[in-house]
Amino acid sequence: MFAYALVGLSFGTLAISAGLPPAVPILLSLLVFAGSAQFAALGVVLGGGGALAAVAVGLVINARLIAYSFAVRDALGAGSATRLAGAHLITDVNTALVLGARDPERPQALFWRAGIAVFAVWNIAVAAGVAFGGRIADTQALGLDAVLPAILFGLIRPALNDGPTARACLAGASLAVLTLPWLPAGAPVLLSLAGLAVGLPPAQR
Amino acid sequence: MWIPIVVGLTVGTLAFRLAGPLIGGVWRPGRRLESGLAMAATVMLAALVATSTVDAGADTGPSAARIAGVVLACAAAWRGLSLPWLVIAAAAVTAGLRVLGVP
Repeated sequence: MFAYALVGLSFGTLAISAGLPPAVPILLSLLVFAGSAQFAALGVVLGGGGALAAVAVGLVINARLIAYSFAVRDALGAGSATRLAGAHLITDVNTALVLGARDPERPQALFWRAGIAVFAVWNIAVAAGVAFGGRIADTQALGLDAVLPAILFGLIRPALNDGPTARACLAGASLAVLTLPWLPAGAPVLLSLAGLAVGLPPAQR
Repeated sequence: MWIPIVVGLTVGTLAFRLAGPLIGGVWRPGRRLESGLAMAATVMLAALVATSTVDAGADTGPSAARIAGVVLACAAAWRGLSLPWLVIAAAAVTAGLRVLGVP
């Protein structure tokens, strides 16, 4: 939870110091509620990319939520309003908790408790970051421009223990950096998906 | 430009989250699709790590101090440094190098 609070605080602070209206980070956190996609969209825009590129990158990152929504389907509860609210609370954290739960009674309680806790901590932290970000005069002097790439690396660090994933990341990131000077802003990051060719097993298996 | 970004991400993400509850009775993603989606997210975030380190935007531009700060902090994270310290290390090294006059 401490890590969530710090990441949320950083998101609010960076968004404000980058000149975004305060409503944008707050709305993104309430409505999109997906930290890595929020940071990614901010990163694309800071790098000069347009709205289309920012949405495309954010949605590719969030597409993993499709798989999560099937995995936690039975833990959401009954009633369409409950299930709608529950679906909005799906994150990496409570999906992992549900998949790891042994006792068949527990998944629903685990899912909701973790979902509500993360939603509360995340949104309070982002709002605090928004309030704090307005007071920072010189973001460069504090090295805040290094925070966005550092946080994104911290978020993917556990996934890099998988060899094929690490190789795909290396290929994709190299491709993005090499094409950075030549392609319109936002395009190199989308092009990095070609790195998947290195990581995914061949179709026949 | 932020209105289409907020709306686009909100609608798309909600659709992803509702996929399971809505159509889980008739279809389920296979393991291959599941691992492909997870890997796609990781690869794209890795690309953003690289591009936002090299070029943080028009106001900031390329910066040797930032590149050194991010590379050192990420190398430490590779060896086990936790996320909060990773963030603090990246900012501190970058800020420290700037005090020493590195652009």
